[in-house]
Amino acid sequence: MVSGYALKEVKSLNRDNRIKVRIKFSKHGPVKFVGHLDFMRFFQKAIRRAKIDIAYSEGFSPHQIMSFATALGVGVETDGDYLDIEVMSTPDCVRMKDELNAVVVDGVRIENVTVLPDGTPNAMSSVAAAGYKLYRRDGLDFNDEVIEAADRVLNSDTLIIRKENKKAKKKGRAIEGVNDVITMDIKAHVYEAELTGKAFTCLVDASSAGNVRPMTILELIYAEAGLELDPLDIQIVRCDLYREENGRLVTLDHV
Amino acid sequence: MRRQALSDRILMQVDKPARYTGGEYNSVVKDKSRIAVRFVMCFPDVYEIGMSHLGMQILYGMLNTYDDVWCERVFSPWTDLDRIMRDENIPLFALESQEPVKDMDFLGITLQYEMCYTNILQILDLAGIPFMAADRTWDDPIVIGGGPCSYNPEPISDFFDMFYIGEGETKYRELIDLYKACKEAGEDRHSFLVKAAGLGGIYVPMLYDVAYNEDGTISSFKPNTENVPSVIKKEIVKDISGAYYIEKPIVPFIKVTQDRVVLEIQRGCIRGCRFCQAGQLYRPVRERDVESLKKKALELLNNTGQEEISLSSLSSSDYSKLEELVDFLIDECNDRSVNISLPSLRIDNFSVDAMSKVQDVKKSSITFAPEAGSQHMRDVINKGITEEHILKGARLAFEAGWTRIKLYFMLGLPGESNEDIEEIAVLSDKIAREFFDAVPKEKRINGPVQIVTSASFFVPKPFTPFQWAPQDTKDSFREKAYILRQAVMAQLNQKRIKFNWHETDVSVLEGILARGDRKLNAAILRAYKKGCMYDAWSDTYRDDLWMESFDECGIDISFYTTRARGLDEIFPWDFIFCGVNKEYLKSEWLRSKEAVVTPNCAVKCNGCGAAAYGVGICTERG
Ligand code: SF4
Repeated sequence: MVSGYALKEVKSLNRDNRIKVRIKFSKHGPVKFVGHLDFMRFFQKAIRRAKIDIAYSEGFSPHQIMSFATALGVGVETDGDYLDIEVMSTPDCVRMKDELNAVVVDGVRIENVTVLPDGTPNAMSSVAAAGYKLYRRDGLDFNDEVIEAADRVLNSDTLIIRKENKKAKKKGRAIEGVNDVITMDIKAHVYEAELTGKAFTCLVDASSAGNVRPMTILELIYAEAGLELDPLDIQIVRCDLYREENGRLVTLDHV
Repeated sequence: MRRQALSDRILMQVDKPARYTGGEYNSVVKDKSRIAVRFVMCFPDVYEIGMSHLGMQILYGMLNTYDDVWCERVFSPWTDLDRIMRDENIPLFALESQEPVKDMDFLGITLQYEMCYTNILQILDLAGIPFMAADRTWDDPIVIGGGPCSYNPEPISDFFDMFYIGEGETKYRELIDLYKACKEAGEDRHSFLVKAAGLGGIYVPMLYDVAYNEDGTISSFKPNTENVPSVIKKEIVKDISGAYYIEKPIVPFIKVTQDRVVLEIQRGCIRGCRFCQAGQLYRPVRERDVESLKKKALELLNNTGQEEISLSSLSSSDYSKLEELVDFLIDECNDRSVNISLPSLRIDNFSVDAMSKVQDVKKSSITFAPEAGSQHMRDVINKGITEEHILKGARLAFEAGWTRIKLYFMLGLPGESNEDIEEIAVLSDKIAREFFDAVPKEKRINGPVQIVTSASFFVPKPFTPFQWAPQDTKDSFREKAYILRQAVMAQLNQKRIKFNWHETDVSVLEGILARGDRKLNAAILRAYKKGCMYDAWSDTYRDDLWMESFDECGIDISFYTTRARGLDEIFPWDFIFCGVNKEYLKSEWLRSKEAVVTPNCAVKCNGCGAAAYGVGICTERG
């Protein structure tokens, strides 16, 4: 009989003795339709199944000490997303990865497990940028007009987007055609962007202050081409998440 | 990666797409080239409700232990997807293989409540299976019903090839073998059905003819084919501890109603509450061995990673080793940071102590189900508890720190007077007084007492002593709710009592369907064709369409609801033997009229008839 690692005595150990661990995972296929909150619950159960000695909060319904770097939208796939957990003892990272991979579902894979040095800020607050790949769900290439339009849009000095003036709307002061839409130049927040026949790839700001949605850029390109873009036709894949280190972008598992 | 039946485009447009994509942890995918029989198990309601049902998980697990069988699942598509599937002609599919339900060998539908009947038609419709069993060929799956509503299958008899009467663990292997043999021998579908009817526990409606008297009651019910039994005996598991129990329950991605591991500790109930159908259907009581339950609990937690475990039974307090089991769970679960939920416990010293260990008294509430307010009515329904029990239990809970109490009552019980109804308010008030008496002012740190008094409307059910009882009318239900509300407002502590009651319309429909006969098939089909679906959901329930359908089919609803039934009337469900016999039910009905209580099986055997199965409490008591 296995009695689980999270023993009561251990649980009350000093918080300082806990080890922070970062888990990088990928998510592909039908499981992409599991939304963020449900996917968190999925991970909590997987961690129990793998018998990882994760730390729990105190109280009547203890919960695992776990936080995701950022939410993944329903229908979005990822090659690299992250969550941080706290465990009670220094883990064998390779073993933890294998044990987790043995108890996840088709389409989910643990890519790596890293122990975080003391004082590493948590994944959520470190995210600075995200890489994306967008392609057509019907498997066809982007057509020539779109490729040519991308050339013009991505090589111009500005990237002007229009968005709803939420502030005015909230205050009930939005007037149609006057102040209901605001314009913004996001060029400085788009670090890399390229559109080939197969896919549109980009590296964009993902910080809470300047977050850019990749679909917004693709919409600009389609608009330039004089075409309507139905977002439902496009599959989004997140390629990785980055933090900043000495003015450079490095992936979140690079610690 | 598994191919999906629905395009990403559709999945992006519907609410909770993970209802339809399958692939949950512990869901079973087999190599179909090595499978002889494809079975799809259906719960005709939305995924979150269906996935919370223990019985379906047990049968799913059991059927998948057979190497030659692959059992999959299907639930009712929610109304958003329903519309898309009709518009785009997408056939209903099983979750695991994502292949059409129509291509399966068996479609098993679990019937947990009457209000799902139109959803059964939705399933058949979307699957492309003819509504009428008589119109089906070998190209269609065998449609088989099971669960509590199959104890009166007559209102939906046209839509099913067969009903499995009783506990699913016993006959499926034989049924599947018979199916394989008939197919191999090239026999026709009808001859398979006739042979299946001989297996025992299998009711094939088309093999029986019903004749009616002028007043609409049944004059005779007979097989129309040779070698078909005239009485169907319910199947039960003799060795409950040795019977199959789930090993690896499916762990849903989305939050379902019962998002936890469920441990069935016993089957059946010793109490003979006269309104309760489950209490009669599942007799005799059979307990699971406590040692194997302990092992099972850990196995299930390990295999699922669930953070909560719950005990399941009709009356957990009657399980003889309850303390031992609960103590064990409290120990183990504490170590694993797993929550325990202990439903259907009688409130006494032990349970209050146990619950205060597993729940936060500040956040949780304690539930009592006195069912009736006056002692007279509690005797009529044979509830077997007194006001003293209830007040003592409440006091224990208050002393342990609880302040929130939920009370469940029924309105419209046979022989109920206005005073009986007012007693519900009086009892609620007495409980509030008990609080102020038990907890001195300085100790009321969790705030003052809050009582929620809920009333549902009584619906008489087959195989209960009240199967003869007239059901109240809609107006009478409303009037009684009003009387009770006035009575609550007249109480000293009325500010501390919150009163709510259930919908009246659905209680009437439930009453029609529960004691209905074959004549209702046409009305149910008509209601479905008019757009009725998800009748158990108040947002989608269309009382007007239902009433129109009954009208158009010439159905007088009072025949099924408010009519007083004669003692010797042949009921549509009389051909089923469930252990408890009609004579016994009749004597209980007569005793209820005198408000005479009948002791429970643990005190005394009353010879209900269930001893015919020769197991459980009937034999153990010696
Ligand atoms: S036969 Fe007796 S012991 Fe058995 S269920 Fe009936 S009343 Fe209870």
